[in-house]
Order: sequence, then C-alpha cells, then structure tokens
Amino acid sequence: MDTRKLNKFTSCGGCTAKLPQGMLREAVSHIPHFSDPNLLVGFDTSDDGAVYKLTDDLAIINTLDFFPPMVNDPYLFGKIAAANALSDIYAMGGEVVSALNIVCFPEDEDPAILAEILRGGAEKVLEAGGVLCGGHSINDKEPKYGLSVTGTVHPDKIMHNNRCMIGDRIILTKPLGVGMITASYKAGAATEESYRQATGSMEKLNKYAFETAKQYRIHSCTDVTGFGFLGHLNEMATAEYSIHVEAGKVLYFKEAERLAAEYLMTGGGAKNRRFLQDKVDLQGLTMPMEEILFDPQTSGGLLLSVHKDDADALLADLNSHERSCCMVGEVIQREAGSIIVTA
Amino acid sequence: MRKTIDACGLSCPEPVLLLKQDIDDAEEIELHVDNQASVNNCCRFARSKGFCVSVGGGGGKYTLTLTKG
Repeated sequence: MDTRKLNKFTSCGGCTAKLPQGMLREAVSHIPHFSDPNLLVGFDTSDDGAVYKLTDDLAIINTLDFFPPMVNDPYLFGKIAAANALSDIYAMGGEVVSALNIVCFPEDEDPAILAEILRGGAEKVLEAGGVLCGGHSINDKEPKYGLSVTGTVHPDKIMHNNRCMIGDRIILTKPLGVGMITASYKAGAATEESYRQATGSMEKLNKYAFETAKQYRIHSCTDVTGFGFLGHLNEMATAEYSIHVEAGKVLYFKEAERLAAEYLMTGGGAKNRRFLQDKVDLQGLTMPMEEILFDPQTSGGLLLSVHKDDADALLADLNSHERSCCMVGEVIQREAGSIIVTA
Repeated sequence: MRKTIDACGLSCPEPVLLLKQDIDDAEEIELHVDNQASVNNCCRFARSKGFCVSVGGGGGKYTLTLTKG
C-alpha cells in the first residue's frame, strides 16, 4: 500500500481542530430553542451527547465526532477517530448500539488509504459491541473521519457532566499531553517512544474505564477532548460548586513537559488558555504544567466525579491492569473561580 | 543580524520550531504568521529568550518584530 503520509493533508488534526469554545457558544445561542419534555440532554449544558427519552426505562444517546488526521498511519487514525467518537456514549453513561461512518476524502487519492481508515474505525465499533451500519462520504481535499454513534441508557442512569456533589473526588482515566506530543512528532520534535505511548492511549476505548466506574457511586462524568483537561473540567463546574485540582497528582506523558518547556504547544492549547483565563485560578504552577492542563486531547480519558468514600477503591480498581488513572482533586464549595489549581 | 521568517501556512508548534533555529544568532527577527495562536506562542517563546516583541497586522496576517532586549 502507498505509505504516503496522511498528515500531509492537514495542518491541524484531531481534536485540536475543534472550533474555539467561545465562538461555538455564541453561534449556538442564536438557534431556535427546542422544547420537548423527552429531550433530557440537549445543547444547554455542553454535554457529551444528546439524550432523548423513548420510554420510561429507555433513552437514546446521539453523538457524532469527526476530524482531520493527527497521525500518519491511516489504520491508526481510523481507530483513534472511532475511539474518540464512541467515547461520548460512555461519558453519558450509556452503551453503544450502532454507528455510521462520516468520511471526507480526496477522490484522486489512493482508495487503499481510505480502506485502512475505515478498517480501523470498524474494528473499534466491533470492540465497543456496536454494529457499523452505513455512513456518508464527501470528496474533500482534506481527509476527515469519524462516526455518528447511537447508544442507549436508562433515563435514571444518565451521566450528566455537571451533577457533581460537594466532597466528590475527581478521577482522570488517561494521562495528558497527547496533543503536544502528536503535533510535535509530526514536526519531528517528539520521540518515537512518546508518540507510541500517546497513540496507544488515544486508541484505547473508554468503555473499560466506564464499565469499572459504574460499579461505584459516580455522580458525573465527561471525557477530555479538544478543550483540554481544564476546559472539560470547567464544564463540570456550576454556580453551586468549584473544583480544586492538585496539579502534582495529574498524570501526563513525560515528554509533554519537555515540549511545553520549549514552547512547543499547539494552537488549540493557546485557544483553550484564552477561553479559560478568567475561569480558572492557577496558583503557583510551572509553565509546562499549565500548558499540559490546557493541552487539547484527542480521544482523552474520562473525568469521573465519584463519591469520596468510593474514590480510593475505584482508583485502585481502574489501575489494576496499568497505572494510567489518577485522582486529581475534589469538588468544593463555590469559590470565585470555577476551577482552582494548586501545585 | 536581522532575519526574516515566513511561517504562514504552518500551525503550532512549527512556527516556534522555525524561530528556534534562528533565535540564538539574531539580533532582530521579522516573523510572519497567519493565526492568533501562533502569535501567542511565538511571543511567549521570544520573550523567554529575552526579546522584546511588537505585533502588527491582523485579519489572518501578522508580523512580529522581535528585538533583542
């Protein structure tokens, strides 16, 4: 197969390609308001997927995600894009039922590249226990791939992103830094080893973390993607409570710290910092640590808000196979900033 | 020594990497970038290297003038 680089097509891949959070909020604020008592989760809370109640004990979750490549290997790109799209179902507390491919691809490119992307994506849908049942494709100079996913959840078991309880502990299930590492690797500035660590993490389904977590008292859940750790944590905070993070407890891929120290951040990280600067209170962090917390993640981990008495057991359970999860902080009485980060 | 770098069409971290190649030998650098995120990241990097930075332009074309301070 032609091994031409997928990345040549795109300047800004993965979840880094998201539109800025502020711009999106402004745009969505102008669309008509839909009021339907069965729409349990819609635009209002920037949640991970929409949830619509069909019967008293069954709701469907709709979500879609697609983006340009952030890695050269088309098969790996397919797996990462699918894992990322499927993640929203787990972040809402549901199970995957079916998925449709979303494809943009140049019509004059090698179809074998496209086949590899689709193979990677389909394998992840299979692993998720869902069925891939169609899709839509568009001729486009820049390839993009993702899924539209349908899941189900019991209406009483929806995992909103903003129902944390004061005292809850916050657990993160994948290390941070994959945005900086994949962007720098593309530019020849990150090592093969950290690239392999990052892509291994990105292609991992959040299914396993959620299946473990749901055996404990989880009050809220979301996943970390383009808006970075702090951006998605900010969506968990409300006027009723703030979240305190201890930066020293956050796991990240070590090379991300070196890259940040050399100012090799992504554009997405700069956008995240700008959007969040008056919402987060960063106290005494090193510059590289701040950048890691703003770094946009593609197919990042789950953020779980768990009852404090269950937190240690859940963390031990999550880390029973490999140590990729960390307890990063707790939900506290509301303070001026939504998020307070101390060293 | 004065240097001009065109980093238009590149996304971060590539403009910073280009700047890094020349920053140790230059007294003054004119850097062209085409997005705000690159402006921010390049400014921060240049200041960390002891340069004063002024930013001109807008609307997708920015010129950063870096002068050793």
